[in-house]
Amino acid sequence: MSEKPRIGVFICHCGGNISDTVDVARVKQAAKSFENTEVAETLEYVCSNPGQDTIKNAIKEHKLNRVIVASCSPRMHLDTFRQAVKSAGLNPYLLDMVNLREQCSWVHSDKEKATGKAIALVEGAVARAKYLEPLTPKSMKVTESALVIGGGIAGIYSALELADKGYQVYLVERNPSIGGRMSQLSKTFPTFDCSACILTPKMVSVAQHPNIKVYTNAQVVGLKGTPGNYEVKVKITPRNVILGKCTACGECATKCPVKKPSKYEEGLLQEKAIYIPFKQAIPNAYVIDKEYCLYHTRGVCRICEKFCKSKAIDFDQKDEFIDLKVGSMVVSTGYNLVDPKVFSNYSYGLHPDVVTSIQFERLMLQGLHKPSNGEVPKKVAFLLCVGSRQTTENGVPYCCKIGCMNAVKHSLLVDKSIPGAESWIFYTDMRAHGKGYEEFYAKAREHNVVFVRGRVAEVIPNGNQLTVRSEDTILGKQIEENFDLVVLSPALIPTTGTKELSEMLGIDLGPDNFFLEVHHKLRGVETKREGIFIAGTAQGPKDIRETTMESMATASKIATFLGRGEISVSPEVAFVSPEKCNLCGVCVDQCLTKAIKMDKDKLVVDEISCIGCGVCVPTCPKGAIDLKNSI
Amino acid sequence: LSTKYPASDAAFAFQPALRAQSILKTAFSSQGESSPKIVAFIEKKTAYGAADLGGQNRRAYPTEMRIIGVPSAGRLGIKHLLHAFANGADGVLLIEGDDSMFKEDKLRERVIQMKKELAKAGVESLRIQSITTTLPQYEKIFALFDSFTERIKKMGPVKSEKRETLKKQIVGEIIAK
Repeated sequence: MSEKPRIGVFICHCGGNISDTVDVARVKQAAKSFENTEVAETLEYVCSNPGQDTIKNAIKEHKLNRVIVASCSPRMHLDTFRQAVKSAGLNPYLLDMVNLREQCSWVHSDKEKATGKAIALVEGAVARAKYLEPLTPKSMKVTESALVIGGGIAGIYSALELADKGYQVYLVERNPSIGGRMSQLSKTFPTFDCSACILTPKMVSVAQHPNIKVYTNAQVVGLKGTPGNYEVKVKITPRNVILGKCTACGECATKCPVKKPSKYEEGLLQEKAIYIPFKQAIPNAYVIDKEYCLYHTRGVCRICEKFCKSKAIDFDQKDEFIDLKVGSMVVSTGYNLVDPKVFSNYSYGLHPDVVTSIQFERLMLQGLHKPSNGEVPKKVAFLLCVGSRQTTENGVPYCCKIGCMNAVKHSLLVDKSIPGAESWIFYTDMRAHGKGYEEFYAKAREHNVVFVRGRVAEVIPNGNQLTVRSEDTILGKQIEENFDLVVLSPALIPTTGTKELSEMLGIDLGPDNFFLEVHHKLRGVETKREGIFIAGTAQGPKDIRETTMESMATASKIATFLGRGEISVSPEVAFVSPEKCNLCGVCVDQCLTKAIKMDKDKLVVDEISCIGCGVCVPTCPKGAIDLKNSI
Repeated sequence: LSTKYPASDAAFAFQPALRAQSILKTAFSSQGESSPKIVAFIEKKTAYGAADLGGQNRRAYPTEMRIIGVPSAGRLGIKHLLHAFANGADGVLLIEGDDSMFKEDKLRERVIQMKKELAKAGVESLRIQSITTTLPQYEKIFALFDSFTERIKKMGPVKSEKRETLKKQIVGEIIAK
């Protein structure tokens, strides 16, 4: 700014709100004496139309190039005055405000001292004004497409919502089929909806939607670009089965000589090395497990290839890398269960009749039986908080949020399917916090379910049965009972690879290692990186209802983000003076939003990502990085 | 030299330093004298909003407290504190919003560094304090305004020879750059 600053100061009475405590005439007098001040005026209400007109006229009349409004908080009227200044042909960023009301007249009563403070505040603004620069908000076209990482119920819902809104969606799933954890469940609480019956139609919609492209056996391996224009590298590991050709007839699996434990059935059943994850899998095609396939391990066999009528098997497939251009993305990577083997007192892994809750879901669908001998269990124990709400080494401090209702659901299902069977629930606190949950719990109390408040000390294999030792903290006595089946509710933990993904995407993990939202209540699905959102249990334990609602919220946020076609951001961002910068990279590490990047021979500030916080500025040993129009 | 300003204007060579001073004018105006002089650097979004909210509720605090809005308390470096104390500050507060990405532990880390640096020139570390606040917690920062002003009044002004040392340090730093 080579021209001399010509400053106009406009002081507001605010109808007595300011003028009763601050002697505005004296402030005006003082303001006139400051360097570069061309005009100083007091007005009854600067924000009113006549007040704004006075500013506009003064800009024209006195050729003002800086305007200072001393009135209320900038939080109240900054935009009003910026608009007024803009309509008079002055850059809106050449306006500054002085907070005479909220931070002076309203908090002080001594008129003399308050006036002194007001003068000082105005003097500060006048001194500051010559460093203001005209700025224009940056805007950038966005790619109107979205990436969804993880094809569980959260990913499916986000993808469908976004695709229905008209955006191109890429759904990347690491497993051979979409569906996620929900596809493994039998029934859902509290309504006993069949999980597959409500999920699989949605999976089919995803597969058939013209705006959704599904990549299975695929993982995100790289991220470049800026919010609104991300470039994502996706690695697709070979399935060894050609997707368009496979008709899922199953001929190959009958001929395959190798058996392996089924991942979908949680190891309770065996399947072949060429397998379909489950009957309703999307895409509905077989896949070869390289860890077990004889051709992959020993280089022989290829029987499946000979028997496949549609010639769908291809052992020559290589790792494929694709680049996707997306404006925004949803991280819905879901959860894992903690391995109960780490808690040796529960005998998990030592006795086949100790199972996890998800294994119990599979047992329900297979027809409830004891994994050891196939008999029908008559007495089942449900152990809650296995690893949850524990500060011990292997435990997690948070609540899994679904364990209580899940156990109630299981106990009711046992009661329904096996006449005369008895269920015992060992709980810490019964948490029934959602719509219809308390009623659901009350229903279980009317049935043949015993509720014991207490954590189980030990599960001891006892021949065909299991002895559970616990304390009943309500009755204050010890319990030792024999059960046919023991079901553990393990803690929920982030899925494997969460940390690597968070580093790649540049988003934060919370202390619980789940993805961290910006604000617990107000910005629950946003991450610190613009354009990247989270949904479902990737953010923390929650049930299906909450997950679907959150996914729709995420889709809505993305539609808002992409919907304008371009994003505009405040121009008050960091900039680098290349002649001073020695590329030490200190600021790159300091940046909270990964907005500063090291290019070959210079530092680049991504103006879309930069939030203008200025945390980088004091760390620069050379004083090469600075903020525009801000201290 | 910054290319944004005409090279002929020699004063602009020290532009960042001058700018820091201009910002502090709010606290050390020639016409709005106050004693003691206390600067509260307040993060512009949440914490500044909390200060506004206190104003709306007419919660009074000493006029010696001068608020300067900053984008984040992390924006402040040792430079700002050197200038502040060299030019007449007797106490400095750094207030950050609780929901800021610049977290409390990072702020503390920086404040500890600043205190160490200022202690070299003999400025007591009790003259600097940091705090984080949420929007409705204005009482928390206003209570600090009261107690901090009280503390600084008891401690008395910073001795003028200490201010001279700080000024020398600032000039030394500018020359070094």
